[in-house]
Amino acid sequence: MYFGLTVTIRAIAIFLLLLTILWLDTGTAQPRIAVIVHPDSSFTDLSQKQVVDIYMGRLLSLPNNHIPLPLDQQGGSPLREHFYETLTEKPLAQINAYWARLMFSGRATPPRMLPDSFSVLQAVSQNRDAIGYVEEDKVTAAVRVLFYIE
Amino acid sequence: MKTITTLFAACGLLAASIGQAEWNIDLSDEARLRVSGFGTLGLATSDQSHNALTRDIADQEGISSSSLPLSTDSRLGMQIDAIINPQWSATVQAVLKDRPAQTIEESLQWAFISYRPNANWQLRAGRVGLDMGLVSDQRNIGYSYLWVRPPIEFYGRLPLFHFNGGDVTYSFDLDEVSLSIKAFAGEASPFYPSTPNYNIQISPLWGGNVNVRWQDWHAQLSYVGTRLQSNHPGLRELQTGIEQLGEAGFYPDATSLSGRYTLRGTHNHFLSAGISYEGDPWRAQVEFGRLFHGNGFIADVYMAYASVGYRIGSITPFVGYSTLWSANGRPEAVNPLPDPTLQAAAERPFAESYSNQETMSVGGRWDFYNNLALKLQYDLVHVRNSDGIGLWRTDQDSIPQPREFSNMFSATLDFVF
Repeated sequence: MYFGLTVTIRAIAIFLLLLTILWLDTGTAQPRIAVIVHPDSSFTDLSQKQVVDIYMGRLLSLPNNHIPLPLDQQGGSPLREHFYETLTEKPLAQINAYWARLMFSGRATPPRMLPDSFSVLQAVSQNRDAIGYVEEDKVTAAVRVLFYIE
Repeated sequence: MKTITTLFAACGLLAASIGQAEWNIDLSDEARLRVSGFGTLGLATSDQSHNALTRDIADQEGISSSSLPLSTDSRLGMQIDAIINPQWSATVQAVLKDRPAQTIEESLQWAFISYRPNANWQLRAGRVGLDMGLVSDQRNIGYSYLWVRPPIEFYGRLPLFHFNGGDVTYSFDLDEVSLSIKAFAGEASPFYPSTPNYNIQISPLWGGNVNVRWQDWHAQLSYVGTRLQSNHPGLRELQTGIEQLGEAGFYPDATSLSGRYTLRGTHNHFLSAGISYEGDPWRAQVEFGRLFHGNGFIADVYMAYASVGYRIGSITPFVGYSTLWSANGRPEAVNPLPDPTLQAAAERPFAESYSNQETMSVGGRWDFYNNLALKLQYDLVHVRNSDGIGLWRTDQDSIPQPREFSNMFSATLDFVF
């Protein structure tokens, strides 16, 4: 097989075309995100940095020896994207690549993903070690809000 | 070929559709099985027809205009994690790719049990990944890095991916800095490229590394040592030939010369140092390595690379430079063997491992969908001395003779699910 020059040029042209399409990124207003725990949780004073470290697999247990159980939202959801982009200041693709590296090299397992905010609320309300995040307007009395992310 | 393409297309679509969630099988309140996978559909070609540049020395085809363009970079992996509780888990990973021996045993990348008694310690036992450089145990996971493949000049001479044994990691924080120290030991028996049915016995294999992480920075120092327990069949033939010459009275130093050509009992050492910065929008990585072979007939090498990427929207263009050069000259001359075929065979291991080349790369990674990335890369490969061909393969009956410069084009579709 030989890549002729025309094929190469055509491939580059298609690549550049796709690149320009991507530039038309859409920016939609995001709702505030509530980071939530169980009402009787022992992690009521977690800082934003600690929450980032828990979600990135860098903080495995807290000073009181409790092991936090972070729960994630569905893979490509705007909520998840907004959560990571705000907390880590990195695009979601980079977070996915980071976890692919840790998970497939067998070093750590990423936070468990749940299909929607309802499942996250339910899981957090039933587990004292769980941490989750949902849209501000979905928060119920069954969970406690640690803080909000703009 | 068609089947493979269909298989990959199916996996890509599968990745696109199910990457949104994840596959979990709940076993109890705490325990679950997590099924995940990754893959790369990769096309690569170059303007060299009879001489192919290999991704690493275990790569069967290599990249040339006449090799199968899909063979070098394509791979498909599946992983099952059994998460029993926060302390105990088990992981099994299988990877399908072009390799010297297509056996289930070789396809099994990892199969280990992990135990974390607390946040500081992790112990793994079974078949684990060999951690000897910033990307060594993620080389199959194209989605996890920027380039189409790990820099050939650096990782090309390191074909070992895993070993049977275990590792211990101790991690702790000093203010903002995280440190982790890992030690490992075990044994391995990888198949030797281009020698059917021959696997090198490595026992023991040992090493360790120190990692320092601060914000988006990561620095690593690592070491791996190996002792080889078997000789290569080609070298055994050479030994027999030399001994026969000696017995026939044609070569007085036959015993001492024959004794040199063995891998058995020799030690190899690999040292590396690397720093990466994984910020946004900038990303950069530098690594330096030194590989010592404890025999006089395989060339030792120095290797290094650097790469920088800058994200613009969902596209990250990057540039890279990697280089590999042999540390030692030719082995000291011995009286030429009276048989020219044997003399050629005696010179061949050094000639075939002597490496001296550099590559300049430019490319881009486009994260066009949640868990799919498309990458394009152009490499200008410069073989510095006409005999620095250690990473090349040829379909001719001679040692590889690549041109001084070659152009390589690659495209990959990388996915995780």
